[in-house]
Amino acid sequence: MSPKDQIRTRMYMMLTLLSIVPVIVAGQMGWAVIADRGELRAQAKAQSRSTVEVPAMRGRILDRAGRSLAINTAQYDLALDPTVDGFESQADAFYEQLAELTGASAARFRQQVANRHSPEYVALYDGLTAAQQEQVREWEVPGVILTPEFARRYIHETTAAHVLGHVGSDGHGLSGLEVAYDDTLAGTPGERVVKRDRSGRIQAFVGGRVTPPEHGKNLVLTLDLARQAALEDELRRGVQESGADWGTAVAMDPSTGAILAMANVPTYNPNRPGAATDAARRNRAITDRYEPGSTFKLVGATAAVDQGLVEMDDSVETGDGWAVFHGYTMKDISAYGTISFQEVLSKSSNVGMAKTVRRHLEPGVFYQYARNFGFSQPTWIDLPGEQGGVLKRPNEWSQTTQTSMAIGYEVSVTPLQLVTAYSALANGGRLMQPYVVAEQRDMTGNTLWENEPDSIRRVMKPETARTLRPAFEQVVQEGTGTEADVAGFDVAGKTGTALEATAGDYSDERARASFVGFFPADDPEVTLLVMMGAPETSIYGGAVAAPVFHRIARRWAGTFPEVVDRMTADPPETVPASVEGMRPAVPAEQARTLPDLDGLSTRRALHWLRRHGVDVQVEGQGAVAAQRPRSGTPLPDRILLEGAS
Amino acid sequence: MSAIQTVKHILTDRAPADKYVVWVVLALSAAGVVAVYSAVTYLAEVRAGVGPEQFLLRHLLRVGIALGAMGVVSLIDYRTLAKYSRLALIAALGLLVAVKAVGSFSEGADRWLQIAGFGFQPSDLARVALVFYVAVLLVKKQDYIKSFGKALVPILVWVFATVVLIGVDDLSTAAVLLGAVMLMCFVGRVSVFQLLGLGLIGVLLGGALIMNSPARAARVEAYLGMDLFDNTNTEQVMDRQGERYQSQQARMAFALGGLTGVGPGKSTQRDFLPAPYNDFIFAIIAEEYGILGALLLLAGFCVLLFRGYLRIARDAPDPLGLLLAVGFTTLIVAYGFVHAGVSCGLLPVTGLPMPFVSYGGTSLLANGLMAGVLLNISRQSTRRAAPSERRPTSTIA
Repeated sequence: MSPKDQIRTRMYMMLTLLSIVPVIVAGQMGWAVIADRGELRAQAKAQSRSTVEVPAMRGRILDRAGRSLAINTAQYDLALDPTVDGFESQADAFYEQLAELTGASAARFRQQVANRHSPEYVALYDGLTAAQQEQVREWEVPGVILTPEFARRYIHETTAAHVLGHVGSDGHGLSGLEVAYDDTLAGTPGERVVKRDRSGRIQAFVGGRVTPPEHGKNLVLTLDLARQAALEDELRRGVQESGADWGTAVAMDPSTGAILAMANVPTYNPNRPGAATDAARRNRAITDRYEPGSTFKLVGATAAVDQGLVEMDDSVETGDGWAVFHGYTMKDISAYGTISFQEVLSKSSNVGMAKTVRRHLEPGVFYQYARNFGFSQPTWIDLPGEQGGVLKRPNEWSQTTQTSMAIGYEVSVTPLQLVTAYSALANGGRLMQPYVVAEQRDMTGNTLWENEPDSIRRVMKPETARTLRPAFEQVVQEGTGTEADVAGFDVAGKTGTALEATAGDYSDERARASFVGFFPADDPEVTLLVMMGAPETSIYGGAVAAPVFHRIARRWAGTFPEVVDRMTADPPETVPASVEGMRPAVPAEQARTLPDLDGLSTRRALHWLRRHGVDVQVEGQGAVAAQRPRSGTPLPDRILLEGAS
Repeated sequence: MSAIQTVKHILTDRAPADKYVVWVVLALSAAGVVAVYSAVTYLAEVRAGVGPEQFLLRHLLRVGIALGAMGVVSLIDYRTLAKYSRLALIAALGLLVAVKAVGSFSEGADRWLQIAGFGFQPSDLARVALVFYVAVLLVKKQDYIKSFGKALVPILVWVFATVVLIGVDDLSTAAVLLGAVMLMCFVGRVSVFQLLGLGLIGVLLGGALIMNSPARAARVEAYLGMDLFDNTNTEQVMDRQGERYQSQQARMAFALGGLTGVGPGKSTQRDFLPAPYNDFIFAIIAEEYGILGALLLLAGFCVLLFRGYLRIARDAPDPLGLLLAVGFTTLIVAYGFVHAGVSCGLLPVTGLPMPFVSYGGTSLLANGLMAGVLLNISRQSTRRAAPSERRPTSTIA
C-alpha cells in the first residue's frame, strides 16, 4: 500500500468513526424529546412558573353613619441585600440617611448588616410609613428591598374596642367583629402566575393567568360613633366616681334589636392589644354572667301579670320588711307594710316579689317565662365568646330557688340578655335578636347584605307590657331609680343590686349595682343597661348605676330626632342642663305656652298635650295640619287639631 | 461590508471554492445570530445597563470579523501560511504563558487577553497554530514517519507543550485538541502501536494523577464546573446543584422544544441554563426551533465533515493540504458534536462553544481562520482547477 493510499484509508476510517458521533447525538436528542418528554416538561414548568399571591384588602368597619372605625394602613418593611453591585459605595451615606429618616442610629444599621445571618438578606427596619418608603425609594440605593405590610388601624383607639376586637400579626381577627366576620372582612386573595428565573427573581409574564383578589367587605355597624363615645365617656366617669372595679353598658334599639352602643371598663387599645391584660380585653357585656338581682324581677312580674294571676293594684303584704323562706331570711331595705304589686316593683321589695312568685307562679311557668326572655341561652349576637348564663330547671330547684330567682339570685345572666329582655318590655313584648352589623358593603359602597331585624318570639302579650310599664316608670319617678330620671321625657327602668357571692356566702360590701331601663318610656328609642362591679361609694344600683344611665340618656337624647322633637316642644328651660349631674331645675310640666304642632304626628302631639293637661279634640288623620288656638298662646284647657287627611 | 464583498468574491466562478462549506458556514452564523439574540436577553437583564441589542451588535461585529478572516485566508495559499505556522505556534504559546503570568499577578486564573476592548483567548489561536504546525511536521517527516524518536517525539513535544498549557485552564479544549491532533497523526501514517501505547500511557498517567490526590481530583472537578461560568450567579447554582443541574436543564430545553420548538425568542430555559448564549446555545436552538432545528444544525456540521474529508482532503493537491483539511475539519466538527452531545446530556458538561454559532469572539475568529484554510485548499482542488491555473507546488513537501 502506497503512503498515499495508506493516508486515504486511514482518513476514511476516521471519517467513519467521526460520522457515527452525530448519529449518537441525534439519538440522544430524540430520547430527550420522546421518552422523558412529559417528565422533563413538568420539571421545566415547575421551575419557571410559580403563583404569587395578590393580597386582598381587608374590609373596613364603619359606624352607622359610615364613619370609619377600623381601617387599613400600609407599612413597609425594609430589608437589604448588601452583596448587590453598587451598594457598598453608597453604604455609609445610606445608613446615615436611614438613621435620619427613622430616628434610629446609623451604627445600629451598620451592626445589623455586619452581624447578618444570611449573606444576601438582612432585615433592617420594620414599619416605615408610606411617606418614608417613598423617600427610601427616591435614594435609589441598589439592594434595598421594601415589602408592603398591611396593618389594621383603629382610628378612635379604645372606642368600641370590645365590639371591634383586634387582629393578629397575620392580619386575621383574634377577637370581636374582626374574628366573627373574619371571612367577610378578609376577602379572598388573588393569584398571579409568574415566571421565575434561576435566581428566583419574578419576571413579568405576558399572558400569565391572573385571578384578581376578592377584596374584603366593609361592615356597617348599628353603633353610632358619637353615642358610643358619649356612653364610654360616662361609663368611665361612673366607674371612676363610684370606685367600681369594672363597669359595662349596653344600649339597644328595642324595636329592632340593633346594638346602639356597647362598652366595658376596663378597656384596651386594639392597636396595641398586647399591652392590655386579658381582663381588659374581655367584652364583659356578653362574656361574663352575673346574678342580676332585682332587675330580674321583670321575669316574675311578667309571668304573673301575663298569666292574669296578679293585677298591678293587688295588695301585697311585705310586713316589717323581712320574711323567712325555708330557713333563709329575706330582707327589704325598709318596711313597706301592705303595698300594691306596682309598688313592690317600684320600691323593689324583695319580700313582696318573692311572696308573689311563690303564691301565684307554678315553677314550670316561672321557668318558662325566664326561658322565653332568653335567659340561659346565648342571644346569638354576631360577636364571639358569648355566654349563655345559668337557669336551673324546676327539677333542679332547691326549696329556696323559686324565691331566690324571683329577686334575681340563683340565676346568672349576661348584661346583653338583660338588655334584650327589657327591650321586650319596651317594644310591647317581642324578644328581638340583638345584632351589631347592619350592612355589608363592597369596596365601592354598594350594599351587598342588610340585616333584617328579627323577632325571636313573643315573651308577653302587648297588654302585659302596657300594664307593667307604669310600674317601671314609677321606679324612676318615685321609686329606687329616681336618679335615672331625665328632664323632657319619661324613663322606665329597674334598679338592681346583687350582692357578690364570695366563698359560699353573700358579701355585704361587694355588689353589682345596675340600672336597666328605656326611654322615652311610652315610645322607647333606647334600652340601656349600666352595670358596675364592686362600687365603693354605694352598693345600690339606684345610687351608682342610675346616675350614669341618666347622664348617658341625657347626652343621647339630642341624637334622636324623635326625642328632640318631643323635647323642643317643651319650653327652652327644659333643654338638658349643661352642668354635669345637675338635676333639671324646671320640670316639664311647667311649660306655659302652646308650641307649634304643625307637621307633628297626631300621636306625638296627643302625647305632649295630654302630659300638659290639655284636652284634645282631633279631626281627620295623619300629621297635624292646623291647630286652634295657635302656637305661642298660653296653654289652653282644650285644643282642636286638624289632621292632614 | 468588506467581509460581505469578500464572501461574494469567494463565491464567484473566478475564485472557485467549496460552495457547500461557504453556505454551511454562512447558515451556521446566521442561526447563531438569531439564537444568541434570544439567549442573551437574560444576561443583558442581569448586567444592568446593557441591552440585548448591544450584545447582538457585538456578536454581529465578531461574526463579520470571522467571515472576513475566512475570506482573506481563503485567498492566501496555505503553503505560504505553513511557513509561518511554527512562528505562530511559538507566539501563541508565549501568549498563553503571558496570560498565565499576568493572571497569577492579578487574583485568579484569567484566560483572556484584553486587546482593543475585545476579550482575546490565546488558546483559540494556539489550537489553530498547533494543528497547522503538526500537519507541516507530519508532511516533513513522511519519509521516516514510523520512527518513534525521529518523527513522533518532535511532534509530541509541541503537542504536549500546547495541550498542557491550554489544559491547565481549559481541560475540555485541551482534550478535544489532543484528540484531533492524534487523529491527524493517525491519518499521517504514524504507527498505530505507538499511538495506542501513547494513549495507554496517557490514560494511566492521567488516572494516576487524579486518583493519587483527592485534592487534585476535587480540583479537576471543581475546575470543570468553574471554568464554564463567568458570572457569579451561575457559580452559586453550580455549587449547589452540581453538574447534573445543567445537563438536566439542557434536556428540559429539548423536551420543551419537542419537534418544532416553542418559537423564536420564546425560550424559557435560557433563564436557567448557564451561559445559554455560549455553552448551551444548541439547547436554546433545540427549545426554540425544536428537534428539527437542532437536527438541521447538526446536519450542517455533517456536511462540513463530509465535504472536508471527501472533497477537500481527498482532492487536496498535496499531503499537506490533505492533513490540514483533515485536521481543521475534525477540529471544527468535533467542537460542534461535543457541544451538541453536552447539550443533550450525552457528554459531561464542558464549556465548548459551537463553532460559528456561539457568542464568543476568539472562537469565532479561530473557526473563521480554519474555514478559510479549508476554502483555500478546496480552491486548489485537483478536480476543479485546471492544471494551468495551479500555483507552483509547495517546496515544503
